[in-house]
Amino acid sequence: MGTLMRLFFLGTILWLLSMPAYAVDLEYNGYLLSSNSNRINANTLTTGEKYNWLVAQQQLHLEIMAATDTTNLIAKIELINDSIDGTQRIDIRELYGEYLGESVEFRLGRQILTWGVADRLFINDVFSKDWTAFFAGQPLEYMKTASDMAKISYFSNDWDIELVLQPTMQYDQTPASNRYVVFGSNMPVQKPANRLGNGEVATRLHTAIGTTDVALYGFKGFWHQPDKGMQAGNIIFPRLNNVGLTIQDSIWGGVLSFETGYYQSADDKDGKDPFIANSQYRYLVSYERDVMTDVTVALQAYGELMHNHQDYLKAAQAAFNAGFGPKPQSKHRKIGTLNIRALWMNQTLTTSLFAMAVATGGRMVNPDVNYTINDNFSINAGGHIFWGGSDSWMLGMMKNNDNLYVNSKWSF
Amino acid sequence: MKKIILSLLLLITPLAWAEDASQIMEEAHLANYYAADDAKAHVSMQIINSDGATREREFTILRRDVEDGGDQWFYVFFKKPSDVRGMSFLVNKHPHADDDRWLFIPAIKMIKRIAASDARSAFVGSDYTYEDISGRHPSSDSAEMMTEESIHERNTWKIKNTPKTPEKDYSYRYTWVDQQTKLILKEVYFDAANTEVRIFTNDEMKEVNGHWVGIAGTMKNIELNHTTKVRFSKVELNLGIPENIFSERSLKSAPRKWVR
Repeated sequence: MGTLMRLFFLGTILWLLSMPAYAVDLEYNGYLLSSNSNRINANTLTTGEKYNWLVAQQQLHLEIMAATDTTNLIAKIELINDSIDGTQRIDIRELYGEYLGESVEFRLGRQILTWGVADRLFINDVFSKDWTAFFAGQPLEYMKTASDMAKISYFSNDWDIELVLQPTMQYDQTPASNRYVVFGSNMPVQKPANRLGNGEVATRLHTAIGTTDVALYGFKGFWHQPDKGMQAGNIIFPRLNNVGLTIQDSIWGGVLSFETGYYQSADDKDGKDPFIANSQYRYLVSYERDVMTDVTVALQAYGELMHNHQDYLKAAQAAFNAGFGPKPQSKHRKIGTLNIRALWMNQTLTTSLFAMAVATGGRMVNPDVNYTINDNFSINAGGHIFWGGSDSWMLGMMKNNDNLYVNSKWSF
Repeated sequence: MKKIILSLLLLITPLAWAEDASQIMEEAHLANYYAADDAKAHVSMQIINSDGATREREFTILRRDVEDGGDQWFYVFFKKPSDVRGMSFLVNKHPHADDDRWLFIPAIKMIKRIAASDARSAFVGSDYTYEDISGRHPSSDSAEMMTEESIHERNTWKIKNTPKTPEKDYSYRYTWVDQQTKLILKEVYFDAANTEVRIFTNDEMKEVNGHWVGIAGTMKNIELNHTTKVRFSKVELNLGIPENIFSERSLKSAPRKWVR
């Protein structure tokens, strides 16, 4: 247990002891979730085993909230049974305390945060992701993982600012070779040492200009993806700085969004080091609107523009030719997504089709159906089909992991 | 001479009534959707399908008027069912343009701005449309006075409202406006074949701080045999809800004082 969590528990106990019992509202709720995803390609795992299950787990999710007018304590705890390897574990999904002042809020503990305007693509959302859960069709909220952090927010009438401090970085979960047929994912991972100076700082300043939402972002920390650095046969996470901007407004009956960020790869600013990712610009333009009652179409165009691509290409091509690395990415990596979502039967049935394409070849489609049988019970099924390309971006790596999934959820 | 006056009167009367009908719909719009300067209510909704299976929604709604008959802010905080608990919804209503809407998804702490061009889509899967909840501006319809009728021993005007731009889910509707309170007591929607498609009834009303408000209503979709019953409790008016409650901050952390 980290220092932050220990401090948090101590603070919580003091807080509870200091409260007269009548001033605290206690609420609890939760759900039972069964997630199952089966790989439908015939390939054998690189570990030699013939597992076809990407996910087969049952989890009990409990949420407890204790609240007063100015303080909240929230715990979201999961008891998980993994049927594939027969293990059980307790996952603290979120656990935080917060103080809600007149114009200032503090939130301390394990928490989830989502920034930016993109859907399943990320620029200014620098918080950790779980791509394993995403590709296996677990409910979309499991794509976001919590981090231990302190968040301070200040609200004026015209603007608000959030400042997030993370004592340790938390990298993304990516499909691993014990469940997925993926290339090169069993290299040892070396996380930055837990020490002062290896923390992460992120900030978001938001305002509204008329009806337009505008936000500025800043980040000083590390790359969170395992394909951004390599050192002595280990996966490492090089330093990353980001400054970014989002603009969003309602226009022509829909919502138009723009997002950009400059990712400065701080350990390789000039892009000469072949083992560290180069700096890049990222941008996204998206538009979403209802095309008829209860049918929404959303389009996203996303790009990454790499600095000093020539040096990168030389090194990456050599590694690829020698059979060590994935196919080098192009200077300008372009990704498009389409999401069509329709609601049926008094909005109890949702069907959606999410498609993603990388310009150099990787493709994915994800049809999904969700049926809410009653207020407590819902069932969700779908699939992921991958094809084309062997781009170093994840889609190319996933092409032997087509899957079908079924999730059912009972809420209480 | 008498005859001439009489025939003139006969000519003038329908015109005067037409003006009255629009005028009454304007007043009804203000009484039904703009009572006082702000409002708070706890809402429970029962959505009943043709098999009698019931889904429930519970939420607190806050409203603040920018201008009577004009822009309004709404903030909705969901309490039930369990899978939408903690969700919140912010609307900046513009009577003559598309609304601005934001939704907060608590599981991932995400604010999503949502498209709002379709005012006729259902609100949270109920038989009420977004427009039923936030109010259809009377200038969208041509109003025609039909007659005076009594509903539950209250005198009403029965007015025919025909959308100036055709709507896809109905052709016209009859609206019964209570003469005393200007609240809508009943509304029946018809399709082009003059068949009833939807019926709204105001089931109970109450005086709060000198304003009459409907506190129970039923919307029935006849074709689908699908019904939504709504009940408002803890209705309070003119609370002085601050402007900054209708903000991104409230989406992310509910203003407990106001949603309790």
